[in-house]
Amino acid sequence: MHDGIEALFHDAASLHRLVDFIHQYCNEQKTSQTYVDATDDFFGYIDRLATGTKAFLRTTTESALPPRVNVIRTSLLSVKNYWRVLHTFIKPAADAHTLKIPSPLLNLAAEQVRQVPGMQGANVVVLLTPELMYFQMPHSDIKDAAINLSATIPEARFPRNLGFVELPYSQGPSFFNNLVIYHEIGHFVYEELSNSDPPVAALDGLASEMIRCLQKNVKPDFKTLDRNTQVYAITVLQNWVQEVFCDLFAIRLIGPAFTFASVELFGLLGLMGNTTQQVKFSDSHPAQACRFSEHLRQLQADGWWDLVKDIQAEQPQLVSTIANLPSTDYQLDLDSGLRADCGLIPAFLDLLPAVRDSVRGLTDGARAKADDFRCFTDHIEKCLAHGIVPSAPKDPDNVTVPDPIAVINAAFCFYLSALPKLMGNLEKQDRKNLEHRSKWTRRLEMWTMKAIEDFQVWTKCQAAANERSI
Amino acid sequence: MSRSDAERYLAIADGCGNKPMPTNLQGRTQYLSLALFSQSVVSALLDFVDQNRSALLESSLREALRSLEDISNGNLHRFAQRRAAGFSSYEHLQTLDQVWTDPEREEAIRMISELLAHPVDAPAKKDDANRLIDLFVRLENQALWNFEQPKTASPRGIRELCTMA
Repeated sequence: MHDGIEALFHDAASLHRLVDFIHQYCNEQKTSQTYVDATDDFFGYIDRLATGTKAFLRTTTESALPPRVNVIRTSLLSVKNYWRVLHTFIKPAADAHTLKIPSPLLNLAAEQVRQVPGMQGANVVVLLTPELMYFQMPHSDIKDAAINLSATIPEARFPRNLGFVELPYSQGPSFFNNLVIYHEIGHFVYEELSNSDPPVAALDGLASEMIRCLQKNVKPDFKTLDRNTQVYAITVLQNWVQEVFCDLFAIRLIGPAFTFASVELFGLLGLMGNTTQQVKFSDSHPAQACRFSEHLRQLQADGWWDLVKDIQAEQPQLVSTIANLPSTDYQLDLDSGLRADCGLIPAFLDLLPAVRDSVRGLTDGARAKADDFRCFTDHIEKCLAHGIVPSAPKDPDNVTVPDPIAVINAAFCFYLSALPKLMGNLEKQDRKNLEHRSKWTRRLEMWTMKAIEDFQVWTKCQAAANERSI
Repeated sequence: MSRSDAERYLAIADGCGNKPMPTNLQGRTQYLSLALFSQSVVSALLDFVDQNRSALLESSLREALRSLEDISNGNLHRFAQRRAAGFSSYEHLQTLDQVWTDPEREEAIRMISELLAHPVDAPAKKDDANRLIDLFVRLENQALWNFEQPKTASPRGIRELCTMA
């Protein structure tokens, strides 16, 4: 006869085995590789959760009453599925040891994020993905799941302020394309601050404004729609808001290099499209034209655009052309079919000033400064043109290392416009030879990364010297 | 872009009005979150019915009640914030609709309210708690099913609205 209790023990043992394997795997990785602190924290979480899950399995099976077997088996399935999700994070995190990721860039980004109000102590776990795409793992969902699971397994609660960003494994050592992680980090900040208790004023205000804009623009009356439709409309608007928030967040932190990196990435993925595609809003993303229009507006407001718009490269012109497509051309592409817009796009356009304000409010202490770029760009370009790491001080009598954001932007502009100049300074290097070109791009990225690392060391030395003098 | 968003962004729709769903697990975690939320309610109710322990009952039921009430008459602001406990997203509401009828939702609200008002060890209360266990286990199972086999479409309301405009 089928024995329910026996089946329960079978399920529990199967889950126990899975947890035990993952637990051991993480411990092995930790002892054989070096990881950034965030990854160590994540593995520490897995360690605690594995112990908690095993204890939960023991007590649940020991106290199970036969009439409740099916209920308990369902609950084991829920726990198992939580582990299934974690399972997908663990191997990519284990692969991202310090030799495989652009650590100086990630350290810089993490340091900037920690200057955002409410994000003190934030850290980012890097995952290496087999896909040629950058992602931010939707950690809010898994954190919600973790909070719900913690009612039965207290160790399930996630470490605070831990975010996850995925990098394509092939791009791990590269630099310029990886600048798009700032957008992904924007998602992390948005999700984290949206959930903060007490709520962060900049984002809480945005939520109220969202409702106001929907009520004002959706026709017929938004208030009379059924609850599911209202929530769906809110979700679509939230998706659009978050994408623009993340773009503006990234621009505020690293300036035009982010816009250029986005163009590179979208081009690589064939997402730049034609004008028809560029004006389409899907349920998850605003139109490219709208996004680049926001890029351009922010770069102008922060004083960057005038400094980069005339560089001898295709990118600034491309950005300007897409950004200037009229907003009256924007179209709603819902459920894979063009739809008459019931007011969602106007509601979003109405909401944009509030999105800009919220980003500005959050990034004041962390933002990139166009003045530093203006001050250092000629020096950095000169260094790069001669194969010198651009952390070399501008003035030997006044040892000030160029600001990393200035280095990143100047190096990106150099990459787009002046790589042939560098190659022309070297013997037997042909700018039309793809191998040569890619070799010097790699070098350029290495020098840029080294300059950032030098700045980080220099800053630490300065801080230590200041402390000693006190 | 988040992984699920990116997949929707890049994917080709199936042509039947259904959004292509993310094939990865992370993109479907909202359903799992709902399953685990239901599980936490079930776990507190089981403790109450089978072990006569009510330590977790109040906090668990209060959250469930607030969340259920918000669906019918609560402030929309709650849904405009990115996350909240309980039923906080379109996917959650859709799952709830799939598995509970409107009268069952009202009945659940009534039973939870009564349990919260007088969580005494009376047979009638335990009957209500057992009925709630059934309801929340059904919800947990449906959420797990959707986690496994997700299929969402935009609500009919928005499709009609966008056609009308």
